[in-house]
Amino acid sequence: MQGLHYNVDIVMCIDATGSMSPIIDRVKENALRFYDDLMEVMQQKAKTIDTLRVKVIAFRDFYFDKDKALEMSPFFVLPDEQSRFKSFVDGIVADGGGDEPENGLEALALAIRSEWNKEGDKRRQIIIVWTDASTHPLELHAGAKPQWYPADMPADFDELTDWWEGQYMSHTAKRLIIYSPDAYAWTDIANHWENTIQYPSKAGEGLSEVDYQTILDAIANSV
Amino acid sequence: MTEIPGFDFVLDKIPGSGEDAPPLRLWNARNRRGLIAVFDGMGGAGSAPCLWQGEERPGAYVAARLAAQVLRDYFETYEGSIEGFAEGLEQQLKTVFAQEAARLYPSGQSKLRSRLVRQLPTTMCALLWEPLPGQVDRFRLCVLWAGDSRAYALLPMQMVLLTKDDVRQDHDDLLEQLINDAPLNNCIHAGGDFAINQAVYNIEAPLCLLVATDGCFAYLPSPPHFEYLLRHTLELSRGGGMSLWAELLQQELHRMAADDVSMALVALGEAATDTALLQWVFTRDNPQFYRRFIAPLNELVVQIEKLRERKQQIEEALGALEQEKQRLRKQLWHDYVTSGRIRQP
Repeated sequence: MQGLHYNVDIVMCIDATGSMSPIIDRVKENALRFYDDLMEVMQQKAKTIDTLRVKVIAFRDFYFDKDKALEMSPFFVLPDEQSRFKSFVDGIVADGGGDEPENGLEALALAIRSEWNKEGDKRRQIIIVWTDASTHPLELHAGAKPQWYPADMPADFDELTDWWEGQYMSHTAKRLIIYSPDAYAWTDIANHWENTIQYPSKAGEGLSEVDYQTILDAIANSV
Repeated sequence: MTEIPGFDFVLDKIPGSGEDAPPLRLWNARNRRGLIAVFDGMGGAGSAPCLWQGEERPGAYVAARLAAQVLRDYFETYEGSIEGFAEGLEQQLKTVFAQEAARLYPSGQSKLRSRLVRQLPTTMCALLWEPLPGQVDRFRLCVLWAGDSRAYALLPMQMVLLTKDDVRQDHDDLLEQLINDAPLNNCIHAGGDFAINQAVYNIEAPLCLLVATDGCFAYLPSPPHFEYLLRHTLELSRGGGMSLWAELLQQELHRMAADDVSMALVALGEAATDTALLQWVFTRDNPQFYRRFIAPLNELVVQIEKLRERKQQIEEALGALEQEKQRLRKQLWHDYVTSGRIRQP
């Protein structure tokens, strides 16, 4: 009889605004590579994975990009749907966004509210954010949100914090990895939310192999 | 090495890459006090490498061995009461870990900002015991721990958990902990903000005292499987002694665990001196235990694994048929066109 099995879900939030142009290709490479690297680390420890799914959310700025502010994929089951996952990531183009800040918190809220796999023995629910920008406050233009703004978003940062601590994700299985500058609201999240790791930089620029391995180990193993 | 019957082992999941330290199993004849302890280097929280004794090792590997060395030294020189053991040990661990972190990581912390990542993180679970004065087969225990390595007392018809995992979880249910794999909220590390928990018990032999890292129990199908694993392998050893019991346990754990495993065990009381008696005392209830708590789940798990295997075979067969369908459709279309049955503009 085998030991316990893992179900792993990953949601990748990628800032696709124009300022990301110089680094978007590297972020896309890292997104596509992440699955293989995580699998390798988990297999090294003989952790049996039943199902691994990946979903991608490309975000910009609802106040500037209107209906182009969000591209969201379904969950792709890997490795079976590897080519669909790759096509979606390849199709992301860094464009628009206007000036900083961007709608990173809305992307994170949508990620938290994903249809996480609730079955299996052991689980990992992972959100990864790549961005080079600060975020709009969630309460910006409250009561007069743009037409394309997603429905039922948290009213403010405190409510988003409640979402992270609340019922959408497993308290013990969730992990949030943030590749972002030290800026609102990413630093607050890294300092105050449980189970987060932030690498302060522009979307992961300059990340050393040692730190990357540390992140993978913190996701794959018990901490 | 103690003269008390027992065993200890450490088993790397990947040979040569394990982070658990070799367990301690010590007997201090001077003050008639015994100690068993395990240390689980936390590779998830402390994988950053450092140079240790001439080789590059993960911080977690170093941490487990450092903690073992500190505990061994402390135990061998400690003369106070069993209840006072933890206090001085905690301070000693904090001092040594801070000094070693400064030496091993001269450039300081990495840029990562997280409470999940620590310098030199390890669990520790240690169990001290001494005979109660003037009483036959009665013992005073002091359990010390930080993290999710556990101490148990295996009694003839009962298993007593002597520790409480330091995990960020709303409730203490062992099944929830097994499934959830919750992050720890306390472990030994160089940051210094940790505590050594302590609990004291009086207990009566016959019993086996054991300490184990989470690799021993966190990958089994359910919490009762750990008790059954201990009793079943003892039964299989057929009075062959502690070393055979340990060997059978290691074989099973190597097959089941997705982690390094380490364990130390001592058997106390008159029954422990006779291996046949020990086996009878601790395994006579095995058939009933198996039928009630183990077999129903095992049978279901086997069914699920068979179905999973069939599912994979069906998916492979479907994939092959789908490819053949594409090929055949193209071939027949080509034949159709070249046969002249259809004319196209």
